[in-house]
Amino acid sequence: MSDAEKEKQKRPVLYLAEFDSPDAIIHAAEKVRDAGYKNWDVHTPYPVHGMDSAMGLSDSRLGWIVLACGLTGVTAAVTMIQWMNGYDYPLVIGGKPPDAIASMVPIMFELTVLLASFGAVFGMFGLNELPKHHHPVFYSDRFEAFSHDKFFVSIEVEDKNFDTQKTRELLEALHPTHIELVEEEVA
Amino acid sequence: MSDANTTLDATKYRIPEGSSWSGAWKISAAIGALGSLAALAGAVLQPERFAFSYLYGFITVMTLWLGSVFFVLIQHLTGAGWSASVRRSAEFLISGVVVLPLLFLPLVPNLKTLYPWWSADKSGAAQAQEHAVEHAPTAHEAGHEAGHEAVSTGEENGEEHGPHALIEEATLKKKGAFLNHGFFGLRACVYFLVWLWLGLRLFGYSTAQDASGDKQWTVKLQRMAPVATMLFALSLTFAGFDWVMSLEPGWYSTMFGVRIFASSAVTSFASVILLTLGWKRAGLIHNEVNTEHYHDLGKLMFGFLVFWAYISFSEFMLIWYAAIPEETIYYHRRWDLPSWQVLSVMVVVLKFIVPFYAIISRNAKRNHRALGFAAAWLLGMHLLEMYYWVMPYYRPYLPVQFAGMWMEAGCVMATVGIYLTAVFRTMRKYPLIAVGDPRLSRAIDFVNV
Repeated sequence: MSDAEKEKQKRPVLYLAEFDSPDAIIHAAEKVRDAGYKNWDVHTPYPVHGMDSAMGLSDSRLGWIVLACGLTGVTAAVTMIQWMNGYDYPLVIGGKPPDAIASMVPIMFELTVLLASFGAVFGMFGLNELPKHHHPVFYSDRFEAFSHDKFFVSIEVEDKNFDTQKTRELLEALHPTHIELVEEEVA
Repeated sequence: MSDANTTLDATKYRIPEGSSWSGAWKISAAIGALGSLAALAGAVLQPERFAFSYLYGFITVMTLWLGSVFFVLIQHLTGAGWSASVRRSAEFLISGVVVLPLLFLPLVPNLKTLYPWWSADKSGAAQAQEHAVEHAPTAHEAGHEAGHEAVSTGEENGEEHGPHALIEEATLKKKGAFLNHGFFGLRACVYFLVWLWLGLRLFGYSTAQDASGDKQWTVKLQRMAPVATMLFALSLTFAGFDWVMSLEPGWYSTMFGVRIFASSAVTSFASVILLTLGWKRAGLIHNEVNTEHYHDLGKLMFGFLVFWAYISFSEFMLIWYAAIPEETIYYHRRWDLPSWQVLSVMVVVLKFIVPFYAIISRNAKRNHRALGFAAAWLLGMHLLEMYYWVMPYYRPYLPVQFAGMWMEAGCVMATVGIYLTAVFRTMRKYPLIAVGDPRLSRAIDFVNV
């Protein structure tokens, strides 16, 4: 094998199946879900109602992250103020007890909201594996239509059930308008 | 698209003869009658307590009604599509507006008992004397009865020339331009005229659309919504000033109108959830109001509950920080005696903290049983909060009067029962869903993304 040929050697990374309508993509997603795939995704120009259940997605874990961050915030606020105002350096301001709860509440609220929002934003980034600068779906020339009027299903090689032949058969049975084995160059 | 025409059928979603809902008005009428008997007995046996108990009952109904108006107005104001299948439940509650002025009537002879400024008004100079004689000793008694250091403010208050009395006298002189018999009466008439106009239009236009499905009714409702919202906000705020806040005429708070609004809004979401769940359970409606709607109603109820807590606490914190006597008096009345302390803490814990954690989760909002329970709980807590608003003024600095609570219970049963009787009777004559709304099919297919 020459060096030039070696450079152009490619390996499959995913199947990309193109559909025309939201109904077709929901149907396709249900079939792929039922076939037991895990490393796969759906790409649509707009949010398609019912897609979560069609893809078999469970509830997002984001809420728990936000709750944990919020509780951390409120605990941090209480400990910080109790330590600073109540114990370490008590100051009487406006004749109020230095560790009065009423004056703590705004800080408790703010720190809860601050950490909860951090948790929501960065938790969302983490769960979505963002930032992601590249994905092999973009090797496909047809893929950019996903932001116009086409609906795509992609099934990745990493999936345990992936089989070049069987996966193709499964996708073909869904009557996509186009099907493509996307490959990437092997360095 | 499946438009109104496919779903338009004014005979659908009616309460059939023999359904538990067709006889619901009899139950509420019975409750109302029973309550009225208790209230009458109260008016004879303890006329002073009756005045406050009845005001408590009246503002409970008033806030429930105002909340429903807010719910419907905000849908028209935003042109909301998701709520078209839910909205009728709130519209039924609005239709009860006709009994509101009647429910107000028993308050009229009691204004002198309720509002200290009523006697201070120059036009009632003779009554002022009477008032002073009548009230000063009772407050004294209260102080001695409790025999407690915490009531020292109460004794000051009881003395005619105590510092608080002097401040109040000066304040009342300033507020006299607003708080006087003539203007008070005029304003009350204006509120009821505005409310009748709002209520009859919002309900009438929507039900007029049932038969024809004509889109012009939607346009008309959306066109009136901005002006109606302003009238609603002003009438709610000033009615709150007049009927609740002026129980403490020396008190200042710019937040009170917002607090009434926030409490009303929470009750409206709770009552819409409960009504639609009740219809579903009786099999009168099915998938028209589904989990997606309950999820959103739950989010709104949760959001406005947090809003209520936020503004109530802000109001308290600013008054606590500034510690100006004529402002802190409001909280002293609700804190100086142990039983009122318990009640104040109950409002915070049971109305906010418990339901906050109960319905914060998405799963709880999508679970009909859990959400229905939370809605019922919040309506119960609304009763507690209204008690906390009004009853401290029945002989201030008395402990919470558990004995004789039948009178408060009776007044709430009377006002709520009479109001719901009107609502339930109207309910039998109209579809339970706004069948003519052009956005109905969109509302039924609505999905939370």
